[in-house]
Amino acid sequence: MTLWLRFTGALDTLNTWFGYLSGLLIVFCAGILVFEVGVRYWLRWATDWEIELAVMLLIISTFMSAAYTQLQRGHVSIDVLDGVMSPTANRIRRTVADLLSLAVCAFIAWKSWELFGEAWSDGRASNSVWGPKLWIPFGFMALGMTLLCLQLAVQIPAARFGQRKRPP
Amino acid sequence: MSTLQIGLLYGVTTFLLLFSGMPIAFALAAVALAFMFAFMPSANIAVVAETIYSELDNFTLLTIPLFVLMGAAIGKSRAGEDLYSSLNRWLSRVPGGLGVANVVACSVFAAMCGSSPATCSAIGSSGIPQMRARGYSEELATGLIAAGGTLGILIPPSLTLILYGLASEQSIGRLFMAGVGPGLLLTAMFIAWTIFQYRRDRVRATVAAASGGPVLQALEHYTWAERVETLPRFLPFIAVIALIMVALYGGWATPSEVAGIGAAASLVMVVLIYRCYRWADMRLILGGTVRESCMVMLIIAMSFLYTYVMSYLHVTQSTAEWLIALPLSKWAFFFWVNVLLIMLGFFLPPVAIILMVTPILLPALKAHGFDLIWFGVIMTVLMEMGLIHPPVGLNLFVINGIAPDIPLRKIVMGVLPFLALLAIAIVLLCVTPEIATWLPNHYQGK
Repeated sequence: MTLWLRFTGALDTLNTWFGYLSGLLIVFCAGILVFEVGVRYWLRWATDWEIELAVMLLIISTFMSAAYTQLQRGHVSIDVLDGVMSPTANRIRRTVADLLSLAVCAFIAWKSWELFGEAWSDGRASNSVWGPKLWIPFGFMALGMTLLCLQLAVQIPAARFGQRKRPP
Repeated sequence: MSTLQIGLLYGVTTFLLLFSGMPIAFALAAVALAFMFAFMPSANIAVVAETIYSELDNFTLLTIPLFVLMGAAIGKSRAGEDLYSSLNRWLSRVPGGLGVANVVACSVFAAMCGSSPATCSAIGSSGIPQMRARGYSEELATGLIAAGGTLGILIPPSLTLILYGLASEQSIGRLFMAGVGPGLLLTAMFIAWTIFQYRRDRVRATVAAASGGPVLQALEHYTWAERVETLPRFLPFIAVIALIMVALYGGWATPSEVAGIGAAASLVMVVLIYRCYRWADMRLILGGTVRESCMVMLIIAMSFLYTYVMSYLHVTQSTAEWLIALPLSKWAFFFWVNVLLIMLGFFLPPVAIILMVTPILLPALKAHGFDLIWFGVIMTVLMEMGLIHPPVGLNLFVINGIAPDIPLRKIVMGVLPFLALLAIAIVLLCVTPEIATWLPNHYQGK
C-alpha cells in the first residue's frame, strides 16, 4: 500500500515536472523563431537549423507532456453518456475505455521504442543540411508514450477503487 | 469485404469508441490500429510510430502550441480586465456602451489569445456583474459574453482556421485574412443586437426599480483625462496585434514565425506590464499551454493516422464519390453539410470535426465549385455555433462557472439571438462571399 502510494506520488511529480519542462520547450521554440526571423530578414544570414530544431522540440514537448495532460485529465473526450447511463454502467464503460486507451498507448509506445532502437543502431540522421540524429526525438517519443501508459495504468485503479487506494 | 461495408464498419467503430468515453485522440488511434490489423499489410503496422512522428514533423504545426502559449500568457494575466475597463471608459457615451465595450473587448481579446473559453472567462468575470448592475438582463449579459467569446476562433490568429488549413492544404495566411471581414461583420452584428436589446432591458429594469425592484446603478460618464489614463494598459494589446498583423500580412514571416513572435511578445508583455514572472504565475502559463497544446497535437497526430487508414482502404474516396453523385444542387448540398456540421458540434470539439470531416467533404466541395478558403470561414462560423448551442456548448458552461447564480436556462435563452445572428452571417457570406474572400484576393491575388 505504502509502496503503491509512493510510486503513484513519484509518478505524479515526475510527470508534472516533465509537463512544465515541455512548456519551457515551447517558450524556447518561440525564442528560436524570433531569432530565426531576426537573422534572416535583418542580418540576411542563412538559416539551416532553427526551424528543424523548433519542430523537433515541439514533437518532444508534445510527447513529454502527454502524461501530464492525462494526469490533469486534459485529453478531451465525449461525456454525453455520463448523464444518461446508470452509475454502474458508467463505471464499466469508463473502465473499458481506460483499458482500451492503455492498450493503444502501450502499442504505440512499443513501436516507438523499436523505432528508437533502429535509429540508434543505424545512426539514422535527418536528411537536412543540419542533419541531427533521429534517435533523439524518437527516444523522447518512446519515453513520453511510456510515461503516458504508466499514468493511465495508475489512473485506472484510482478511478475504479477511489483515488490513491490500492485495488484489493 | 466491400469498401462500403468497410466504410460502414469504420464509421460505426469510430462512433462506438468516441462515445465510450475514450479520449478522442486515443479513440481515433484505436480505430485506425484495429483496421490496420484487420485489413492492411503488416508492414504498415510495423511503421505506425514513424507514421505518427512524420505527421507531426510539420513546420506549420508549430503555430498551434505557440498561439496556445500566447493565449495562455495573456489569459492568465489581468489583461482581460484592463482591456475591458479601458474600453468601458472609451465607449461610455455610446448607447448601450457597456455592452458594446464587452463585445469589443471579447473580439480584441479573442484576437489576442485565440481561445473562446479564455475570452469568456477573462471578459465575462468583470463584465457580467457590471452589466447586471446597470439594467442589462441576465440573458443579454451572459448571451453576449458567450457569443463574443466565440469570435476567438474566427478572428486571426485562429486555431480552427489553422487546423482547417492543415486538413484542406489551404494557405493559413489566406485563411487568416479571410477571417478578418466576417469577424468584423459578426462583431458589428453583435453590437447592433446588444444596443437594440439593451434599450428594452433598461426600460424594463427602470420600471422594476421604480416599483421596488433592484436598484439600478447610474451609468458612468468619464472625462477625457480619465479615458486617456487607461491607454497605457490598452495600447500594449494594440501593439501586439499590430506586430502580428504587420509581420503576417507584410510578408515578413510565415504564420509559424508570426506565432513565435506573438508568443514571445505576449510573454514579455505579461512579465513587464503585469509582473507575471514568479514561479506561481509561470507554472500556470506553462501548465495551461502544454495541456491544451498536447491535447490538440495528439488529436492531430492520431486523426492523420485515422484519415490515412481511411484513405488506404478507399473509404474516403468512395464516400467522396458518393457525395458528389448525390442528386443535390450546389446549395442543397451546402445546406446539408451545414446541418451535418451543426449536428457533429453537439458532441465533438472543433478540432476533431475539422480533422475528421474535412478530407471527406473536400472533393465534393471542390466538385460543386466552392471556394475552399471561403468554406473554411463558413466552417469556423459553424464551429462557433457549436460552442454556444445547447446541449454541450462549451461557452455555456464557462459562463455558468463564472456566474453560477444565473440559471443555465437563462444563459441558453440569452445565446439564442446570437445563434440566429451567426446563422444570418452564414447567409450573408453565401450571398456576398467577398466579405471573406476580398481581403486575401486583394493582397495575394486569386
